[in-house]
Amino acid sequence: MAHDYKLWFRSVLAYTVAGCVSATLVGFMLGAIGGGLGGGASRGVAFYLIGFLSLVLAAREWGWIGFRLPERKLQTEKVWVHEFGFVTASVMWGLHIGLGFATRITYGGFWVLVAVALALGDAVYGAELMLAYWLGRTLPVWIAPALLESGSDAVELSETVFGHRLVYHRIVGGALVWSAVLMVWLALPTQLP
Amino acid sequence: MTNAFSISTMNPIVRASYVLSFAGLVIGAVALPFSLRAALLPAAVIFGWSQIGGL
Repeated sequence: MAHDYKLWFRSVLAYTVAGCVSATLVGFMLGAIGGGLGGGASRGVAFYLIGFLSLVLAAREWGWIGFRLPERKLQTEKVWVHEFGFVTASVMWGLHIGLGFATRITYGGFWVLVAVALALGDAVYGAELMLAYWLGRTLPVWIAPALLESGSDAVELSETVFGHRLVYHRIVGGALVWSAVLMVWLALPTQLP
Repeated sequence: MTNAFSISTMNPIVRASYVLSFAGLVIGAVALPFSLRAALLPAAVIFGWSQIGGL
């Protein structure tokens, strides 16, 4: 697929749009479920608990404590490309990975977003949160070809980041601490939705 | 002399990751006085971006 920029663009666009659909749907459903579970005073307690969860997950990312995250130990199906071609397979990969829960979850931030979507109980915000997560997830696919020397090879991207996993643990840990601060703020009586 | 944390000698993907994360936290901090919910969205982008490290 090297140098077939039209095919690359169509495939990445298809992947991104398809994932937007499934991520938005999942976020909307999480918010709706959270809304159905109730609110009131228990919501403040929930935000404190999510803040604590964020700090525990940050400690995990920084290697201070160790435990496994709940996840399905699955990657998406590579064989789809042989059966359906690049563009259709990209749609299927986007729909599948965009669900969030269907494939591996390497870092703890995803679970904080799920907890926030449930605790706020706002379907639209839940959708926005999961959409933001998905767009962040697709960003490397868009910009990696411009950053890597030899083009858009997924193998090269994988090799490039393989030796730097610690960086991503550090970064996610920092964002988790930031999330914890926001959760404590959200728990304040004046901020409760 | 090469600094181990020198941004100019970093792997470009790693450099982009640091830049995105720093920018995300700054945007989140700027959004904080206006909307707590909006302040969390850049963190969601960072969480998504970081899945690249789980390839």
